[in-house]
Amino acid sequence: MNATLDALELDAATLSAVDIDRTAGDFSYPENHTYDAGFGLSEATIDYICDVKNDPSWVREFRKKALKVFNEKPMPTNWATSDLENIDFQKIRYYLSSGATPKRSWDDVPEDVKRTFERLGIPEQERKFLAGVEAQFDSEAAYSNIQKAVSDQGVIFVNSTEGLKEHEEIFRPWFGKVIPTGDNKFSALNSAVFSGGSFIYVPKGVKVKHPLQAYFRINSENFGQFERTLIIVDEGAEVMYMEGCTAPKFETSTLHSAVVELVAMKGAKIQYVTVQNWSANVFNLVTKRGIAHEDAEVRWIDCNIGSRLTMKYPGVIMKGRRARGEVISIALANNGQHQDTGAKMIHAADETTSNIVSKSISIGKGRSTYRGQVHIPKHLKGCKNNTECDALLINSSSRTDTYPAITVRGNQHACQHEASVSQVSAEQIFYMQQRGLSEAEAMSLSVNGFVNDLVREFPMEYSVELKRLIDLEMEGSVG
Amino acid sequence: MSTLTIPNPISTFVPSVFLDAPPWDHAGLPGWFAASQLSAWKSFIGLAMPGRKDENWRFANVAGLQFDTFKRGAAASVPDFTGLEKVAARVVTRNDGVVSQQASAISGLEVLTLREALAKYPAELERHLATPDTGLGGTKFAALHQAQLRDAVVVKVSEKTEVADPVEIVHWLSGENASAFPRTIILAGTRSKVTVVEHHLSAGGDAGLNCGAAQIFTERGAQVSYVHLNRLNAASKSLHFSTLRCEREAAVRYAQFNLGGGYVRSEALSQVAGEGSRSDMLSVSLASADQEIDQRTRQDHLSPRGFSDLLYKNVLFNRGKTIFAGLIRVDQGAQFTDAYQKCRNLLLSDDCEANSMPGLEINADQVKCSHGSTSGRLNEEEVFYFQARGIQRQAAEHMISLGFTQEVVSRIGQDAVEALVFSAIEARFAELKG
Repeated sequence: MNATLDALELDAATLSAVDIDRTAGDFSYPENHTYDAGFGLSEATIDYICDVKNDPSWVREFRKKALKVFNEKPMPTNWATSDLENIDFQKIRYYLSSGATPKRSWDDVPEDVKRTFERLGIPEQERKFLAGVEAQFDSEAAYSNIQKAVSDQGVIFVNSTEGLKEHEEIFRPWFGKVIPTGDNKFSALNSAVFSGGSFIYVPKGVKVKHPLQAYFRINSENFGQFERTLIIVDEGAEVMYMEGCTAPKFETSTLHSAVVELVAMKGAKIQYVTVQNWSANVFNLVTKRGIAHEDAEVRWIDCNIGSRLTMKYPGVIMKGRRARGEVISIALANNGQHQDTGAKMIHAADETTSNIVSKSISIGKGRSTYRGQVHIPKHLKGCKNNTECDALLINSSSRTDTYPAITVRGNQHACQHEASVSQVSAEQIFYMQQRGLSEAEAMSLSVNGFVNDLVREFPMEYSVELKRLIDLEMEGSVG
Repeated sequence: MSTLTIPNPISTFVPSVFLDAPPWDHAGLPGWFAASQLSAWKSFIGLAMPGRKDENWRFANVAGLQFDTFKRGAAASVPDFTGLEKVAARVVTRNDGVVSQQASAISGLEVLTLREALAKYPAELERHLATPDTGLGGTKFAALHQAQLRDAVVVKVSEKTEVADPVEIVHWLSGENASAFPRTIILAGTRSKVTVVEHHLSAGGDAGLNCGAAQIFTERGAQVSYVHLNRLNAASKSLHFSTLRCEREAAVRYAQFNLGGGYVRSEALSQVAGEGSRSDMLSVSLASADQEIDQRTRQDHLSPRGFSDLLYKNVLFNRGKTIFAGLIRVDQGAQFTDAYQKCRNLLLSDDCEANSMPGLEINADQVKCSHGSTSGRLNEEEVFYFQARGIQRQAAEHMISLGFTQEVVSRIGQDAVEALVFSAIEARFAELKG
């Protein structure tokens, strides 16, 4: 049966009710930048960025040191895909902005930027259920706002530039500590040219009721976005942070290379939710890691739908007793896409536990990869890890890989890993077809069922959108 | 061509002593074989040493790959050895030289030395006697093996010949810093059936280097079992490369038991090449003291409707260290593949280290693939169950650990071989516990 034909049989009202605009993110406004660091990367680029941002001298030094590390480090193609070699670092623009100060009021945001985010529904969502919003347009935050009730509790939610200037005493001790500059080539690149991203501090005992959200938008061609996020949640405090990403479809490829550091102090809880829906020409090479102190919990909830190549392995270093780390991830790779995702769990204290659940779907010629590391060193007691990776292949040219690495030292631990690769069974599809569903609908339903237990982990608004996105990606993949 | 000139080393890593050995005598051997050994030697010298960042050597102690002291020494005498009671044929070697041989009395089964095989089946040997490279990282050392090869045991089973009793091969490593490069080649004809049991033993406490290879070739519907028992002493190093090729409807069972050796690296490549073929890979490794047992495997599915299953179990004592890296690879077009892989580590001490890297690369749909890896200690409830019935803790732990390995042993499928392997495991357990 033909999927498109079936879709046409639905009446227009039903269609508009169930459909979302797949091209919601596919538009761009003419560039109008006051500051442009030009193409290519050199010391001069760094000086330009520092001058525009008026960085303190320690930041300038930090950036220059990072540039050296970046230049020295080889591409990790000894284990990663050779597609990385297609990135031409000299053909990328590293800084574009129309001023480094974000607007506090929606009315002050420049018209075309405002239209961009309005089309993506940002202010609407803020009114509805968010405690704070930051919207980044190319290199700098265009809009940043936090609800008064939340800021009155002492919660700081600003962009990273403001964070390092206004709150240096909190910012600096943790900055670059969770992910050192030399961690990998792309964390070094980010350290050299970072701009934008969020800085959040939640004081002791404060539980932020509503999520904080950041929205990242690439608007310009040949541009690299390098946001830097640092979240510090003090003893017993809790926060949920969500980020969304989009970019228009340009002819040439775009680079997004973020560094996200999370610090959960004693008994703190951080949930970090990502819905990545970059267009299919974005190289998305992100380093994300959290430190969980005693009794703290760090959860990464990660959904990767877009991009040309995503390499992202959120990690948790469980540094304090009974700390807990979790990574829940969904990846969907369609034609021309490679979702190389996974998780890193470093147990560094007794009785720490970690959980990884990863589900991937490969459609058409798409390729999804799970890459993981679990490390339980010597002299620890009672550490536990559970890893589950399930992959679903839709078409005969779809591809999936799993590469976990598990190290356990000593006999006081328990560690298990399981992975499976499967197919939507013909019987299942037949069963649903018999009950009047088209093949495409049946397939879509099966795929949604496959990820359903993970989708529930996302906040309500996100999980609804996610289900629709999956439906759309599935469209035309069968029949 | 009677002698070969050995090129000078261009890498710092060359076991210098091998160079002292006179160029080996290729008189009467075909030219292609001499040429293959020479080119293998060149690639051994030319290839770089594995580095710490090499993915195929991840977690491995590459410093263990120093073989400078080993030489081709004169062999001392070897002790008596009791293996299987009933065998179809038996070969005993010592540092690559045949000590004794019990020829096959079964028509259709031939157990030949390298020279015999080259004379009798030159075409087949030319096809199969290449460098046993598995593509799993040890290319340099597979080349060393090929270059240093002096003899081989070639087991040839003719069409429709079913051999009931196993062929037993015993390789001794004897004398101080001795080295040996044993090679087994199994050629199983259409719908034939054979079991080969191979022992690797040290004659005394001297350090030795055992760098061996096994290659299994099947024709349609052949069934081959290959059981590899490594009981070298703790001072010895062992490198082993296996390649299994399962042609249409053929079934190959590969079982490796690492009960000895100080540094052990084993690579096994199984090619599920023909439609409806089956590969079983099994292993039990007991790692103790400062032993490092590093196993790398690959299940390569090249045709539709293939089946492969891997079960590797490790028991770790003291400062024992194990590495398991396995990959299931399903090629494009290999639809309806069933492939499974499981690695289980039982950690019995506080200082041991188990590394597992199970992997999947799937390029076809309509497949069923899964892998699993577990690392854990003894189940306290099970120990309690024993204790509640008056069995001491130590005895209970002993029995549970033995039972853990039994699942693998019982899949060999031949009572006499299972009994032999099990008693070897039991003996090693007693040694380690005592």
